[in-house]
Amino acid sequence: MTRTAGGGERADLPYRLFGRARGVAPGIHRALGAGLNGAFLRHGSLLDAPDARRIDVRASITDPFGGVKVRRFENRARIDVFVALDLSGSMAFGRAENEDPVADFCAAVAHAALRSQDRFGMIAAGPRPRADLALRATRRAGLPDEIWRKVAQDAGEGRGVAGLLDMLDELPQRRSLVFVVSDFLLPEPDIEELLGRLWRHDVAPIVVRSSAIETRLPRFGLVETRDLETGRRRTVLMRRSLREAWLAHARERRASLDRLFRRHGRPAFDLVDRFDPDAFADHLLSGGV
Amino acid sequence: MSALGFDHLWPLLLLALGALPFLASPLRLSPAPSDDVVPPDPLSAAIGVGLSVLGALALIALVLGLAGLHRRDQVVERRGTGANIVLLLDRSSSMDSTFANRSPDGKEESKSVAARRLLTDFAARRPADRVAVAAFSTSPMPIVPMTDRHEAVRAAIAAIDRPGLAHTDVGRGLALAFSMFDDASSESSRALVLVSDGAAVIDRRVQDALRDAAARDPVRLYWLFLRTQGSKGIYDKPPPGEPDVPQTYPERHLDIFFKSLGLPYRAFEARGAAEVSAAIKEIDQLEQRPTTYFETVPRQDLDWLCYWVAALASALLLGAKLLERRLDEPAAGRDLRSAS
Repeated sequence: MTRTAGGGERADLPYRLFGRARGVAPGIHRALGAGLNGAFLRHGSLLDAPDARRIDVRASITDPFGGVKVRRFENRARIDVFVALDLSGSMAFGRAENEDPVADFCAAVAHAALRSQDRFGMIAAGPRPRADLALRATRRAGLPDEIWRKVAQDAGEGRGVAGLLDMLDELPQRRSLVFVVSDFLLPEPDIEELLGRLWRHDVAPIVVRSSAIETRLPRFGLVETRDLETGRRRTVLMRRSLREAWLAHARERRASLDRLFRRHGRPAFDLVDRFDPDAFADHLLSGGV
Repeated sequence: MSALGFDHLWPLLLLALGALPFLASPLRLSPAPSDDVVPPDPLSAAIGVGLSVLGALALIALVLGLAGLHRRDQVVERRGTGANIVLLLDRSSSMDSTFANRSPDGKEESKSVAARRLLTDFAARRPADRVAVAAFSTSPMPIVPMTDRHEAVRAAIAAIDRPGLAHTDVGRGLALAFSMFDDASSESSRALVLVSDGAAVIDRRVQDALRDAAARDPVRLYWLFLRTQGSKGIYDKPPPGEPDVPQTYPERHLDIFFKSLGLPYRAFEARGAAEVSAAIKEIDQLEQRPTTYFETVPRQDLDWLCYWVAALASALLLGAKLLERRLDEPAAGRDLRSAS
């Protein structure tokens, strides 16, 4: 565990690609195809893999058909890890210059990817595509700190994720692990489109939430909210009944998001207020269940 | 002319500030990622609109108060029971003596003083009247045209005990009085009250003019005759042998002339203040007819009301401000963590 720019903790994260990776570059992820070393996979015919060093004598003797068996081993490949970051106006909520859970998260994923011999890339956009924040899959050293600075400087502005949808085309054709970081305060069709266009990849949604608007609500008083995307003001008389309705509303929204994510593969990880690497590791290991 | 007026017009330019509360809010804004996080709440929406309206109300009321909002003085048409009365007063010098034909001393008041006192009471008792005052002696004098301003009428009546002049020209005085009824006085409620202590011969031509006027403007005619001790009365007939001519019996012949006009007519012969009072009371009772008169309502300042409205609205806004909370008040847990 290291402390780096922004004070965020970075650890190795046990992320995995659902299914087998494709690719020839060596890595730590189980890949398609059989190789010559690594974890045992199966026996194969010597005719298929003419490598006398891998002949398994015991399997060859016990083979009723008398063939010569060769041990085949699992291929290990590296994958590309991407972060698709929603930078619409609503994402500015709950992020401060030095206390930015989203930047912490992105930097932590970059760090873990480099440590796992994978490549890290990023696309980030709000309503307009942001070419300056797009990053091709790379293994450059110092990437986590650079990612942290870039993300922490960009609070997000504008309405909607049209730019992010456009930038999804920048992702590689090959199956990658894509962390979609957003608060998902979007119309459901937009979320459907976002997840639907990522069908090629293994999508892990990260829901950025803030306890300030979910659990730490004031008990009584007048609150005037300003929508960070539309700028619309709303006066709210916070009181017991409304507070309960508000909390129920938040739970209902989270539950419907969960149903949507499960339809598209994985349950989401909740990034509440700050990034906790241990909790994220637990989530990855348990598959979010 | 509208009912409301302003002392100063330039502060009204500040009314544009009334749009401010709809653009800005008195509360500190809490950024929220989306409107969707707030469940719909009609009460909150109403309070939001209400706060803006209160702010606009406070500003507008302040500006109106600064501009000096007031209700202008207004003339209100009212209906009452009374009459349109022309008081025709004798200003001849004989009115300055008492009923006993002496100079007034401390005990006895002169005829004009008595008439003034009683007529003032009369006018004060009847707020719904429209009154005109005219006087006559050597020549007729219009004093106050037909009006419902009772101060003017009171002042005109108060002036009748000034020392008078020599002659008594009843005919032209009557002609003037007939001409003082205006179109606004309805026909049924016209009354002419002649107050005199003597009469005179009316010129033949003036008599014709009066007959014309009486035929044109029918009025009810009251003659309050203040009879001085020793003078001839209205109903005194000449003794046999003496010629019955207007020159010797002007009162009797004036009475006959009035009767010949074909108008509702009554003569009151008063020998003292008490009888004058009784006569006036009788006229008072007879002249009770529906009339239309105008009352002036004075200007009323409304700026205090504006300031109260502004103060009330500001107090409510202050209450809202004191209830203000924010969504993103920092949590203790986060502070601890960043300190470690």
